[in-house]
Amino acid sequence: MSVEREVYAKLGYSMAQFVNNDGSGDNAKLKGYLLGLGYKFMLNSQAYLFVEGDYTTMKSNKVIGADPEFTIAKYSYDVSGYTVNAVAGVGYRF
Amino acid sequence: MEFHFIMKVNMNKIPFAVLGVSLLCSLTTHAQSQFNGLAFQVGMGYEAASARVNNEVFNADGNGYMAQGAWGVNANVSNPSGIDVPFSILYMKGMGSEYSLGVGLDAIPKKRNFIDASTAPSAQNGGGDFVFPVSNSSVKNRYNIYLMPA
Repeated sequence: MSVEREVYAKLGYSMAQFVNNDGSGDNAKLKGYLLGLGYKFMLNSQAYLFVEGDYTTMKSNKVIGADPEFTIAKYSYDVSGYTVNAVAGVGYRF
Repeated sequence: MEFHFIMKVNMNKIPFAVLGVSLLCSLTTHAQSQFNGLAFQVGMGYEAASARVNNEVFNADGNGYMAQGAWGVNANVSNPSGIDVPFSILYMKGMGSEYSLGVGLDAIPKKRNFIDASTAPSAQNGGGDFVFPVSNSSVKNRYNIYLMPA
């Protein structure tokens, strides 16, 4: 039996929550896209190891709020950013 | 004199070319497993992140900025880098004799401080000290939904 290896790509949609912990509840939703490349190595017919790298870029909606500890003003904010990650792990296929 | 240009196109590789990974795929031994069905996986890794908070502070009536400059309109903060433990479920379907296409869902249940209140910038206005409005924040519950050609 030959050893099975596999390169794969990922192209997708990413989302997360930005939580403002000041008690106002003025949270934001982060949305974006991701690109990834991975390498999979089968240990047997069902279990495998993988390594993967992803690039994700995200941006939030604009939130307008009032800080409960700062009652004389309003504020607005939005968040943007990107991440690069490297992951190794195990998988099992059914 | 006659020139001939011959372009050989491997139709099976077109989806990979579209995604820009054809070279990498051609350099590896490709699985022939067809990989039909569900798979579950868990991993651990490190994520380096860079982010920016665009922040504006207004008077209570919404006219003008409460304080400019020190408050930092377009303040640049945070570094939410750290360890990730993603859980994934995949469904793969063989396409032709060599390739598979899958859909996947990653759940990354991290809760990482985005801005630490103790390090957030502060400003003085009207005799009082104020901290950055989004001064104690975090990112959590991240999900990825994706197509996965392999």
